[in-house]
Amino acid sequence: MTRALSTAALAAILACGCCTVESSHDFRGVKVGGNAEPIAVLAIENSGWYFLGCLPILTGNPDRPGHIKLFSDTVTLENNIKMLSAKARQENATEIANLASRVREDLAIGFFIFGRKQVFTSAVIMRPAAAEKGEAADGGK
Amino acid sequence: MKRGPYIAAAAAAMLALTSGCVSIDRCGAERLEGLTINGTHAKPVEHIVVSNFGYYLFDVFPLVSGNANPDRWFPFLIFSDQVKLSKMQSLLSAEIQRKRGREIAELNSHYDAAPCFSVSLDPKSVLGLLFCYREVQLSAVLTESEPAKEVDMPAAKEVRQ
Repeated sequence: MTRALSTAALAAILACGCCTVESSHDFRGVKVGGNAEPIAVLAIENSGWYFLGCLPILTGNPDRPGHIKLFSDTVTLENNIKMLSAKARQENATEIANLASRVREDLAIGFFIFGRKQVFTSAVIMRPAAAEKGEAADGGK
Repeated sequence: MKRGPYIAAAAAAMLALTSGCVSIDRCGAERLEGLTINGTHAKPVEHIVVSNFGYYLFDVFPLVSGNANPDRWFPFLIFSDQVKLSKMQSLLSAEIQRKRGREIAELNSHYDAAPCFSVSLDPKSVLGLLFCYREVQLSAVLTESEPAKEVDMPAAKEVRQ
């Protein structure tokens, strides 16, 4: 029993609060929608462990993806959008498409004492196509 | 001493205490910092996720689920099937109606159903097969609709010329 509990505790620590921003750029010229040029598809995930489903214990750090925070409620939709716009700014994107978010609360995973909360956001970040840019420039003249 | 009834009672109490919840998560457009929604030219105002979950017996009979009625004053309902896409859309539509002059973009739905106790304390326990978790979510972006005057005015001027 002790061994089983310690294994579960170790698994919980290993899989604890984490924040990741993953991007993929391999479009090979394929358009996603409209005339804009897709830059990357982003997958943003933030998760954490909560005591009784409400008190944060270990959560992902949205300011430093890949790191954790203690006793801070960072698993929110707002933090995911903040990370998305930071990444979009870094990639010089001006438009987004296919923005979707999902909130998941696994209360039963820790037998209702420790619950896991996850917020997942995905989107395609885009910039105006070269032709559009040219048209805009001509129109301006 | 028979432990079965106590375990079942404890599980039911925990389900009742923590289960079934409607949540509306929002994020204001200030976080999107100048990004526009592709193909619309509309200005995003808010990203919104509405969700509801509940527990079902044999994944068929509703036990406890979040109260999705607009005039709710109790967070969950017993023996009422509230985890439905139509209920979530009603909630989302009510939100949009509340904020007049706004349109919707990037509407996505998500549905999830799974056994409640995928990791059971007792391998012989049948609790994992009895109770099932069900969840439905809608995610969308509210955008500011373009005023009709701004669209109609230039066309009207051209006709007059």
